[in-house]
Amino acid sequence: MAVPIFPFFAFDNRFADAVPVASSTAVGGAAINLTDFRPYTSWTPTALPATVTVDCGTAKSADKLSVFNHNLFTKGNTIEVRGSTDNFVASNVLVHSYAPPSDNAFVRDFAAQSFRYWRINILNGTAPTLTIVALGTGFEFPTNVPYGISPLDRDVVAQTNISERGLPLGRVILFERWAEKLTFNHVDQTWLRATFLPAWKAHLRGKPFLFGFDLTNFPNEIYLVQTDGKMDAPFPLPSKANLSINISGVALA
Amino acid sequence: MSTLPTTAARTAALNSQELKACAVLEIAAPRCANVYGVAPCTAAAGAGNQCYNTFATCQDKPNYVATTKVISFISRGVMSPPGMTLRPYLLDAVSSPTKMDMDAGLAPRGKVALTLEDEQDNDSSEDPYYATRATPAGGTYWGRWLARNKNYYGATAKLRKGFVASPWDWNLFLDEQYIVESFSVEGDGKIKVTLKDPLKFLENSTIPPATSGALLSDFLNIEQTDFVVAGSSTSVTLGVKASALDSTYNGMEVYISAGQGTGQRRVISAYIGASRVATVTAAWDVVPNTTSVYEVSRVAIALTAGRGVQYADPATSGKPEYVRIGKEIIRYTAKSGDTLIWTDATYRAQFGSTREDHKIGDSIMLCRAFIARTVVQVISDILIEGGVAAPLHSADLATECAAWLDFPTWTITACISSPENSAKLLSELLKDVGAAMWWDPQTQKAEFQVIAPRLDTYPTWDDESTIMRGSMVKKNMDEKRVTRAAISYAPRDAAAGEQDKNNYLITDIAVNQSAESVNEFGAITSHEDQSRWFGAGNAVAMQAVAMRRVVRLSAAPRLYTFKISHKDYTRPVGALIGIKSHKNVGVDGKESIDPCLITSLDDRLTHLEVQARSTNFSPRSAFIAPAGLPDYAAATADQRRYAFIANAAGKMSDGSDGYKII
Repeated sequence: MAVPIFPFFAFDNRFADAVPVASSTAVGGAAINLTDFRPYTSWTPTALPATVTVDCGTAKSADKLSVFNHNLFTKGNTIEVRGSTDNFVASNVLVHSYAPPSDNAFVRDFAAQSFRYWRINILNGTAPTLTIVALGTGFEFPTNVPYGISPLDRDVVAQTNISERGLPLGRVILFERWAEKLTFNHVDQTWLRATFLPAWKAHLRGKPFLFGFDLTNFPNEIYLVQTDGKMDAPFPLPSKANLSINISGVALA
Repeated sequence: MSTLPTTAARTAALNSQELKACAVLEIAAPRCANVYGVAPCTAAAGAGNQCYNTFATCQDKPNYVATTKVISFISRGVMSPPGMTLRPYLLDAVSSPTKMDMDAGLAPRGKVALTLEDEQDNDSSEDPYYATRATPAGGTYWGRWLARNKNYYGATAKLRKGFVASPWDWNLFLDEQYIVESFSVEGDGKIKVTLKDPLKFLENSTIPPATSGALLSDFLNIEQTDFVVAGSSTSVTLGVKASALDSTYNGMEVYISAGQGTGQRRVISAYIGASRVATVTAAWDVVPNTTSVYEVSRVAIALTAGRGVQYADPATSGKPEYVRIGKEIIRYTAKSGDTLIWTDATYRAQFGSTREDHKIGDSIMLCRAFIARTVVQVISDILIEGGVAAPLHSADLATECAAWLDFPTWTITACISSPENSAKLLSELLKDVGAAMWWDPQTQKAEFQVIAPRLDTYPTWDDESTIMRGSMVKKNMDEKRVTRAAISYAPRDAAAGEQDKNNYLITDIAVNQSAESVNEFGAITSHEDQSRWFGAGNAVAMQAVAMRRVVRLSAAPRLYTFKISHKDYTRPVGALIGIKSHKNVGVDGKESIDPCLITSLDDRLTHLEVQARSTNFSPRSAFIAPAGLPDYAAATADQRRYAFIANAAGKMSDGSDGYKII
């Protein structure tokens, strides 16, 4: 159960394999909203404990739980990941349990397991609101990005107001844009073709996903990003490629 | 004077050097409160085939229960707090804010055009039955919403402008209220929603409301007249030309217009055609004889069947009711089904109109009469009847009228004898009383102000701490200058054209001869107006309106447009400010403070665009000073805003011009 040490993408999601079913739902927030990678659509249960369960049809694997834009800490909750072979009749396996220490986004790592039925279970406290939950197989790069990446860069779109006589009248920030060019030198051609390209086609080129730069040292620095649709992978060596993609999102508060 | 709504948190935030701005659009969209198939809803198409809880998709319209559902959109780049569905679709907002207009009376409608993003989504937020649909919803959020919602016009929309904080705090926001006017899908797929201020409702309504009743028979000036043939205590024998049919004149009035018994009126209870004897309901005080001339007239008219419902019933409306037929205005005192009834023939030919013959089929228009009403009552009535409910009226309407317009000389008796646009009527009245009204999206009220000298204290906005660099433009509004103002009032006939100058009995003129002299402007600039709202008894008021106009506009007013930051966003439209800028200096080249009214305010999130106009009461105009103030020479600048007595030459002790009583 190793925390990823290399850059990490979360997009694979068992809850997107079929329509997830919630134990209860407050007006206006359906469980399906957890899978749409939109931080403004959400699910809120009306009673605890609350579950969201999905039937994947066949046994499928998961080893990461990623949650973005939630208030589990504020509401005093614990979140569990559970798996079952019979829709939680006799089989009900606790895979992972976590009480978030803050409302920051988090990625939890656990030993990969396969179940047909997967569930998150919310315990304790009062009803929380979750917007993005990805329970699936993490996408980890085989190498770190080269030295020089600057994940704290941000571009503030703002206006500074000054008076006719030059005195400051205040600065109004509209938003902070966050963008990075991720370059992975000398990644294996086989990995590029067998692992990265399918992920690119299935999700990365067109849909948002979660990005963690260094989950070991900066576990709270998880961004909701999307690519600009451009991927470069020139060959410096016959068996290696220099992979680069541009990602952008909104800076963390 | 209204103030901008605020909170302690917002006040503190406005003073911050750094703010993270955002806007949230909330639309209260019409919705059905029912659950599909649950009483009172009787629809039964089954799971997957339900409606979408909108009227357009309703399968049981008689049982539709109207409510609203708020849908919210936030500026791009701002994270929606957990638990709030604020879709980040709000891309751009272009405002044409309300502009208080001191000369036009009613300000033009404020408008905001918003550009919104569209996208595919799972429909769970808009379709309460999405989980039962056989196939997931196709299309995009707005595509589906517009297909399901046809009745968004007039829906309340709030544009909440404020600052992002963690945790989220709505107390940092100032809400602007509008109504939805239109949606459009742009060429690039974006959605444009246009919001207007709620005074838009006035543009879509008429006062009085249109009516469609018509006369079912001829209705003559006088049905029959002649000398009395014979009289008894309870009857009168009509002339030989009277009808030979029994009951012809039953219910009509017989009036003795000359000879013995002149001035008596009685209602005919029975009429014998063969003898032409009309029996009256009450005995004559003086029995008419052959010297008497009678007039038989109707005191009731029958309308087209089923149309009576369109006409107000005096018994329930609580006010006198009138109709217009041709050029005659008639007051009716009762309504019975499709019949309008009045007491006697003196109720005909009201408001200077002429009693005349009317033909079968002539239309009968409901009138709107205001009898001995105060200005505030008439304005309130127009607003309410025009669709702007009382909770949207500013408290300033009552206080300003109480201060300036609540005297007998302002009492209104007038009749609007055919349907007219409510906005036009209101604008006309506001001009006639020298007042302005505008929708203030921030106070969320129809604000009102009499254009008159003000004693409010006000802040000075200057080049150093308020006005943003390079933003100020100052314009002298020479086209607004007026050296003489004429007002015609006391209409002869309320059924005649309002623009017909010959229809007015009185014209008063105020002239600033000094301004017209060769050595000053050297020209005459006239303003002429007509008022159908005021009569001969309102002469003092009308003279004051004309005088105020000349006093205020003899010199060209100054219009300032400039930008300010949010730290000074504390004054609403209509508030007094002093503008001190190097672009407005005195003859000595020093910056002078120009008292101005804020006429427009547009929060652009990064700054505010402001328009202000000089109040321009020149020569000096002010209230009489209260007792206890020192002489002018020793008075402070604040105290000099009260009126002091000038010397015989009309000058103050420091040589400046004296005050003027208006």
